[in-house]
Amino acid sequence: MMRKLFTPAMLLFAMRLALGGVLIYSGLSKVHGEWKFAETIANFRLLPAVINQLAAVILPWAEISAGLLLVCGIWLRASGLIALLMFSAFSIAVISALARGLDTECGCFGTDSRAGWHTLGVDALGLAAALIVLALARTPARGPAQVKSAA
Amino acid sequence: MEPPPPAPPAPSHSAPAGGSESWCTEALRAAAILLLAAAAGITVNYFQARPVPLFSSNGPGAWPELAERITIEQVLNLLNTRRSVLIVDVRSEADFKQAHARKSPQMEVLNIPSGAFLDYYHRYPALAVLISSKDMVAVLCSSAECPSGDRVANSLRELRHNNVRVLHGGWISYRKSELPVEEEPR
Repeated sequence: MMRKLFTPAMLLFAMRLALGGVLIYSGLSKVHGEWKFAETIANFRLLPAVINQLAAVILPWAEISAGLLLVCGIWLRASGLIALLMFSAFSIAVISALARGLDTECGCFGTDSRAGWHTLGVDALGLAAALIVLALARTPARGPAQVKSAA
Repeated sequence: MEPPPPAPPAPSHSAPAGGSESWCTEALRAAAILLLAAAAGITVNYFQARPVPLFSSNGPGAWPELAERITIEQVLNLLNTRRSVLIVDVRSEADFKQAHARKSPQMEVLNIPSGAFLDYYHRYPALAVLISSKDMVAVLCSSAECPSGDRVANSLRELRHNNVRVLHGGWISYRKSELPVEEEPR
């Protein structure tokens, strides 16, 4: 019974829903706060103004799109790749802020929480989930019918 | 009697039905998703009440200018000469609760996280009155590098509050000074 619960297919399903849900929530929380989000990105002092502004406008929709595709199980590797790139970028930004002692909001889920080690922890979990989706989505899930025919 | 037909070959465990997709195809799909997201984002931004200027070097995406600083020694001098000081602590509520500047008859302390500051300012006119009534307003961050604190200070100066500075060194320098601290009981 326990083996049936922890099959790669079930793990992929769980990761898809968790990662997709988090991305959709994160994107929706930023959709009508692009101005403030642009300021938050600029506070990290990494990229020029034009890139910060484009990122503030595009990123929420990229999160929502990737999240929806993950939840629906469509183009899993492509959406997993986008999730991996986003969480990598977030992690790099937070690490850079911590290294320079920058005190700023992280821009996470539209809240005022500061960029810190807990933010990095959340990004690491997102990275891990994206990697699991990418790894498991390479082979299709095998249902009971396929297992019987192979036997 | 005819021999039974040969059994069909077992399906491959590694290759998905319909052939495997290369990483190039996945990258192209990811690019298509990002292009659609960009189109959606730019369209929605266009119809916002306050759209983000996309190709401007000024605007919300510009790095905040370094606001004028005030040292902890200057704050002490002000307090010693009986001037009124307002400490605007823009750290998170959790950090503030853990330890913060203790208020005194001459020194008031407010905690408003930097991201919410302007909302509070516009929602509560009494805040503008309070800021104007003080000889000095010191914005306090966690550390010396405080872009969010710079934004708050610059915004207040644009609103004609010329008595606003960012505390040099932030909470770290406050902690080292002789000014009183209130901590959460353990």
